[in-house]
Amino acid sequence: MQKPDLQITQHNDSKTILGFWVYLMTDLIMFAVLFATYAALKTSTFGGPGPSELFSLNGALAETLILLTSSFTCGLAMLAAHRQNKNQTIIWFLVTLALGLTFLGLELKEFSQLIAEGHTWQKSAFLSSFFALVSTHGLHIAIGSLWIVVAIKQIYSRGLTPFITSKLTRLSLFWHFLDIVWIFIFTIVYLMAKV
Amino acid sequence: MAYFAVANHAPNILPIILTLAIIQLFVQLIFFLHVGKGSDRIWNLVVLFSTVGIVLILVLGSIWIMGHLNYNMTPGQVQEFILKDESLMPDMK
Repeated sequence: MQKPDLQITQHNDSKTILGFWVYLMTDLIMFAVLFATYAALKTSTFGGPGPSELFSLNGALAETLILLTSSFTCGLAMLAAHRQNKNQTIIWFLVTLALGLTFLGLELKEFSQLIAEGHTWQKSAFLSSFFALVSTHGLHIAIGSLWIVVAIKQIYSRGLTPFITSKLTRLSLFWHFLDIVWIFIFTIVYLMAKV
Repeated sequence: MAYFAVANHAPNILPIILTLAIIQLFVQLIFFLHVGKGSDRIWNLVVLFSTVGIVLILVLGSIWIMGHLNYNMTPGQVQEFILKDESLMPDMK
């Protein structure tokens, strides 16, 4: 009786991951719309300063490196989970969480500086599209961080059962996906502003 | 990384940083998201490629259309665009 059960579980698991993958792809379409809006509106500054004057490349580079590292530690956590090493999994997810929160802190600091200098989203179409794009990504990171907290709690209390590991797989897909979206934000918003 | 190319103000930088971003995308897809592994990989790839198609249509189409709208439909600037891009003088019509 054991073997068919296992097969059914694996079958359902790959279906679940396919479903989650479809969700990620629709999320990608949403980001694409925001990117298109940004690209169409980035010259509409309404007389205010444009992208090249507003953004600091160093801050964005720091955020990029932090997020890339968090993606890497998330990968390490998944490797530990597949080795059934509970403590290492929890530790690497904690590191990922810390890096994610650092990223969020840096982004909020950047936003509050922009707002303090008077460059709010009400100033121009360019700033509206910038805040819409970057803070949507930030909101995803915030929800992902919350998800990591819940996942750590579940690993801690229930251990690395196949069910939990399957959940962790989806979490890590989500996190790496956000990393990819950020690569494009970094390139299109920050680097192309300085070209 | 692309940062150093931009920070050093290298010429003709746009294709370089876009290429670097796309390389980074593939590295992430293969090493982290493990695209192309697992039992449902065909369907994963089908969904991925159709999404990439939709994304390209959306982004390139929006930029294309909005560029033309900006060119033809902003009353204050039409005169300026005509002068600048088509080298027509207003009184030569």
